[in-house]
Amino acid sequence: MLELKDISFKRGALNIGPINFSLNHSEIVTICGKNGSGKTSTLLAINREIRPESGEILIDNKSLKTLNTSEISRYTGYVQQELPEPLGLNVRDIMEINGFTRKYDYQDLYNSMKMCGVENFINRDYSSLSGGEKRMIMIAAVIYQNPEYIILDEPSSFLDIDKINLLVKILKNLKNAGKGILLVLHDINLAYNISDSIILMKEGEILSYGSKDVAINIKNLEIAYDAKFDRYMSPEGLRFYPTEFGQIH
Amino acid sequence: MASTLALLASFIISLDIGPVKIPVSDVIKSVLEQFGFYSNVKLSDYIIVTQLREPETVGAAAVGASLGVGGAVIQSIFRNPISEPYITGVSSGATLGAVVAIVFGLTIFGILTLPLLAFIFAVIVVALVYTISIRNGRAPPLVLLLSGIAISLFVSSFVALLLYSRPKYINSLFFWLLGSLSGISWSDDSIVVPLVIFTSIALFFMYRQLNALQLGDVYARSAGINVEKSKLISMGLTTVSVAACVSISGLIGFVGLIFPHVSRMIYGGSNKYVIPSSAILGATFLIIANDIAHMIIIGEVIPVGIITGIIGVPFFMILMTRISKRGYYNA
Repeated sequence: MLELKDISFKRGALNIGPINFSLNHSEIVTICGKNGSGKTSTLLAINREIRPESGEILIDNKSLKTLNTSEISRYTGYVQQELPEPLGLNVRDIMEINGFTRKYDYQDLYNSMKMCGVENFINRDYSSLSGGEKRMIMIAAVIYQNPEYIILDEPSSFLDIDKINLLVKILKNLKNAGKGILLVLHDINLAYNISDSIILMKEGEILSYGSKDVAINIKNLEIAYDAKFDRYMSPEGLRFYPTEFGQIH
Repeated sequence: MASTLALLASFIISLDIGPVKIPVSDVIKSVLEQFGFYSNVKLSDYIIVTQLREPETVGAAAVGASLGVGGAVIQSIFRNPISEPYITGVSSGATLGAVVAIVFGLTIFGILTLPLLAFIFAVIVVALVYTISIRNGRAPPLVLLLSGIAISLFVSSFVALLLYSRPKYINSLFFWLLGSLSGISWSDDSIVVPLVIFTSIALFFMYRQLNALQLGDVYARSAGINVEKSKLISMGLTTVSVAACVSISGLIGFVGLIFPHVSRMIYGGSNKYVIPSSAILGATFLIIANDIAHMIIIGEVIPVGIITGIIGVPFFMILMTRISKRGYYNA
């Protein structure tokens, strides 16, 4: 289990925390909230890019502080929202970087790419790919890394509808394979559809956290996004949509 | 393979160039005899080839290789295609060391005083740049880059101050700044060549860490790479190698900037290929540039830094235009 216990820190002018939540194996937890609410900063704290001023992060009951970089990479793998721009690396080079702490296994590398529908790009120049293709390569690379917990910041950005459907399938497969998945998503309906638990953040604090029906309701969404919301039942399930923006709370 | 053959050919041709005409066959025989293969080459030719020409050519190869490898490493660490090994303060530090030796007429280490001081000052300045860039135990590439530029300017101001107060030394320093390989001896090579070989091999074995750094510190750390240790070791090795080279050759520009790009165009972007290829291409280029420096004015050797600049800048402009239009793979 990945646990955040009373984590708090400052990011620019924003005080973030206290943050408490946990991620189990075979579970998808998604963080939602407005831009600047502290979603990505929370992921960065888990990835040791931000040092919390207080609180503790535990992975399988071990403090993150006691683990070295190589050990942590076997527990967590992180895909940033920004796509990197390397100097002429091809796709295979990138996949191999994520295999740094594991034994090279071509079949596994190929399967990870196939799962993301990018197996034909293995010898391609990464910079020649489209944004969506690059995103899928990044996801394939972290799958090849094979950590216990996979952390994805806005994985649906740059993806078209087809690829978003594929992403949902990949996430469900990973969950079924026992992986814990922590996501940051802007699309609340996507989050609602795929998550076991949702964390709704506002101005650095957790506004609501729990199973998707506990965390996401009209009232919480209106507070989190400063907008009026409504909902309807679609063939895919319940959908929320904003009807009016502005300071309503 | 082709570039290795080009390096060998340029090496032999380089040994053939000079005021005394020696047939290529005798050049090859001299080199073979040096390695214990008996040949009946004339003693005077043997001495000219192995004692006068070869040390300079070997020095050119070492300096070119070191700058090529250094460029590949620094561009990976900074994720910046226009960076080169001098950007970390090596050049300004070495220049300050050289100026101190020249202006104060220091002879504490005999003829090695200038190169030794240049080396020591170069290492100190890079260490200073690295130390002041550390934030919460980490040295972010952007802070390193800006610190390198700022400290280089700071150190250069002291160079200017020293020369302003003692203008009669401006000429001596001017020639050092232009970069020259003439006068490199076997004793210089005996220190620099093993250093360049050792550091280049060590950096080659760090190719995966250097590839990862190209994707950013956050990415590399998440993939399990000890980013700070990798940066410190690779920058340290590069600094020692480049500082040693600069101390015997002065400042030779463009090699460290261009050849990593050429290597990426030929072999792709992985440092597994870029590091060895930049070494071979950098060495070949500097041997040829040094030959040209010997041939332009008969009986005189113009500083090789002038040649690398004259050839390097147009070449770099063409290269950059092609890469920016089509990327490395189709350039």
